[in-house]
Amino acid sequence: MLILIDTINNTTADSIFELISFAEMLAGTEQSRIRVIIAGENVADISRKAARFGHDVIALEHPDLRFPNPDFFADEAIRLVDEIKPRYVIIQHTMRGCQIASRISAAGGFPCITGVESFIHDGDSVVFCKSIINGKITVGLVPGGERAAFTVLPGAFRVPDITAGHRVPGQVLHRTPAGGPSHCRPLGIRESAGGEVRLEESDVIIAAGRGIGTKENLDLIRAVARLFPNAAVGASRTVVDQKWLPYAHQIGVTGRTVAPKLYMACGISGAQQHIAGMKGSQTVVAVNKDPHAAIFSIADYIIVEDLTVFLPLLIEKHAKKR
Amino acid sequence: MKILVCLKQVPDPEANIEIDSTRGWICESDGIAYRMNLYDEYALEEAVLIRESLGDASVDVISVGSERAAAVLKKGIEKGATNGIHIILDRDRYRSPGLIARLIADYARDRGYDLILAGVMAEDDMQCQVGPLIASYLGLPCAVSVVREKIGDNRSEIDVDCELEGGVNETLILPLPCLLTIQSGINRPRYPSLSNVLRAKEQALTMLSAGTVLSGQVETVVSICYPESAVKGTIIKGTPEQKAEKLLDILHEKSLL
Ligand SMILES: Cc1cc2nc3c(=O)[nH]c(=O)nc-3n(C[C@H](O)[C@H](O)[C@H](O)COP(=O)(O)OP(=O)(O)OC[C@H]3O[C@@H](n4cnc5c(N)ncnc54)[C@H](O)[C@@H]3O)c2cc1C
Repeated sequence: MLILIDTINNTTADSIFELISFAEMLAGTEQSRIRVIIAGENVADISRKAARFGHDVIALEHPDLRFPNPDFFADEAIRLVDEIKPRYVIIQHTMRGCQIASRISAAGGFPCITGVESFIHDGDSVVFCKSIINGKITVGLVPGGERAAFTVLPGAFRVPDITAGHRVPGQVLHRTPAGGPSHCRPLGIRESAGGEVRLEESDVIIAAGRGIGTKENLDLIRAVARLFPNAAVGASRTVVDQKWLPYAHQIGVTGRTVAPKLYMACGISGAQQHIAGMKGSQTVVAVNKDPHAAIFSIADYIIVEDLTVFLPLLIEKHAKKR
Repeated sequence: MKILVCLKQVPDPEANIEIDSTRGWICESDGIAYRMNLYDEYALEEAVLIRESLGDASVDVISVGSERAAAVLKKGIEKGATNGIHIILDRDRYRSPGLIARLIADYARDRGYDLILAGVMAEDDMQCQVGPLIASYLGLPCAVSVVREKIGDNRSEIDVDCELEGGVNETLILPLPCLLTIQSGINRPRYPSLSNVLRAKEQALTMLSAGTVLSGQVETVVSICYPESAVKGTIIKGTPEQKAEKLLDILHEKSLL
């Protein structure tokens, strides 16, 4: 098996090593060699770190890999796949991860499944499960043939505990991509403006999704937030895309990651990209008119109701109680 | 400048979607509304914006799907596309992104497109593969999750911002021709204009049959279900008033209020 990891400025979050658990569990009792490929400009440090998990690491180094350069990385990975002939190629599920996985699978003519959340052994085959339709439905897919590429959903597996059991560190080999110059020129990275919203410091987040229907209904969300001593207003990407709220309010993979005491999702469907940013919340209340909404699967308290009916009642009853 | 935009018809996730376990996909029923994949709307709008800024560009829209999918091509023309191309497949079911991408790549090859745009993800199968696969089959450079683009003055390259995670963007320069997958929020998709609505009514789509495609090894759906993790929490029952009161009580008990 091959695990492919890219870096930004030669670093990556430790959670990337979740992929090692995925590979080890996939190997099961079968003897299967796992190799970790780490791409960057100079990735000696992170490669040594990766080797502690007990598998050999190939540090793939080139100035054009200092920032993500998926096509360039994939082209070298295609050569590695030809040499090593792995059963599976494993990548983290990000959009560029999907790009790399697709490119490798196109070159080799083998299947690719993205956003894998779990798998089960079923006789001789392995069934890989992923969400479809915004997380409302789960499908199990079996890749045909000798080889397959996957992207694995962040958070679906745990980083292996190296303190438990004895792992002999793997070797680190350095390699330079053989191909010509990169077609794409990565120029650098930039943080989007954070803004003054203090989401991370709030005890309570009342989050608005597209289900609020209109920008004006944000007033309802704000009014609910005012019921609490230290609450802020959060939003799904859809709300931000519509310019109903600035980007600083966005929660999810491409927004903020929050873990308040109370997260109240109003009119949010619960797409995995949103859940990624709030699943650490202590208590989750979800208000949605669709009884099958995916957000209910991670909610502690479920309210199937039209929020334009429910939230005004909540505010009214609260006023009466005081 | 010739631009091709890939459009997919998807079931509206909010519609009452039911599972058809024998076919390994969702039921096709009258209760389901179908519409254009959200991310493709942004891709189309971006193409139309490019045409408006360059003046001399054409925007073709292409969709691979059942007869019903013609509706998204018509919608595409209503929103400003020049031509619609429909590669017709039989009934909807899970289709490998590899197959869809092959069909689109085979159409696009040798037609001189300078830029191909697709949505970053399809809302139904959530595979995020068709765009990069088309680029691979055509040997084009590719950038995904684009949130800003600018075509260079000499029209030989394009400067893009790609969204990474956690509020970080990466700037890249790609040579043209290339393929970009577009992320939501890059623009604000327009409503159809009356003149384009009329034009869409009149204008015929180019219809092609999918024929047989050699797509190598693919993945197949062996199970389909509602997530079994669903609903571990407490369902608060009653009238809306009762639910509001119960929730307030719970929040008090937990000292959150
Ligand atoms: C690469 C990538 C990155 C992404 N990053 C993020 C991210 O960081 N954060 C994020 O949030 N999303 C992100 N997304 C988008 C994500 O996939 C979803 O599209 C998005 O989260 C949906 O937002 P939503 O829940 O507000 O809208 P929808 O999915 O449209 O859901 C609206 C919900 O409101 C409910 N509803 C409607 N009317 C009412 C009513 N009157 N009362 C009660 N409920 C009602 C509906 O039943 C539905 O469940 C990303 C997507 C991609 C491809």
